[in-house]
Amino acid sequence: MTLDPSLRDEILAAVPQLRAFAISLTNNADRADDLIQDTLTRAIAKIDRFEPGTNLNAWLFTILRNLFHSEYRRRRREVEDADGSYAARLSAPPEQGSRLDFEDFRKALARIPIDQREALLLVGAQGLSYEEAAEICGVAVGTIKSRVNRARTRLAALLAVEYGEEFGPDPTTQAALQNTL
Amino acid sequence: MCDDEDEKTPCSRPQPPLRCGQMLAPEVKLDRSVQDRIGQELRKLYDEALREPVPDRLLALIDPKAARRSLH
Repeated sequence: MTLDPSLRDEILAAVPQLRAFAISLTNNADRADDLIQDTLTRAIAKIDRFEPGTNLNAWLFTILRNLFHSEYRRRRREVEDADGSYAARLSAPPEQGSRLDFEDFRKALARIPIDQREALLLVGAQGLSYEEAAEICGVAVGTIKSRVNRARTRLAALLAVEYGEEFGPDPTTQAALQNTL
Repeated sequence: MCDDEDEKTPCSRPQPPLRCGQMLAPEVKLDRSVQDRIGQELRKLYDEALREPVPDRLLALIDPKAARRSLH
């Protein structure tokens, strides 16, 4: 299929963002690239389902997310980068000097449930609105807000184990967390 | 809704908003500074992934010329 040049350029421009989302979601660069390949192949094959004037990025993210969940259901288990091979492949190491270790944050993110992780990535990292994230995930806006909040709470609790009061919850929150972790 | 709905390749037309079907458990509200700190770390991690070069095999799916350009 031949893509309209302007549409082709828009898809090209979206690839780095799709890839960052896929890497952060899967925690595995090779798996993320396979997911991107499947996403782009499907998007090109089904380009007639894209309505010009609507949100191309949201459409591509929806395809990627649906493929990821389809694969996840097949595997029935979460594949993590347990040996840290992704972190080792990073082309440039993160800036040093931060109290929080980059690798610890990456591991903590990989430990939160996938539905919460994707919501947090779409809103907190990709910068989408709650409404856009809700449309991509096929859930209500309130559900996305709840998932983002739960993701942050879980991350804070996981990191508090390593970093103490910097991420440590106040006593009220701590009591509530007893029931969520 | 679009006709012939394909689970993995939805129509890009906005769909009617969904409603929560159940009551959610009370939410824990994190301190603003903790939320900000998590946001910073999240964006740092995301930016690292964004800075990685996109493999040519992916670019070639969309535009073989773009893949060739990236080699130079």
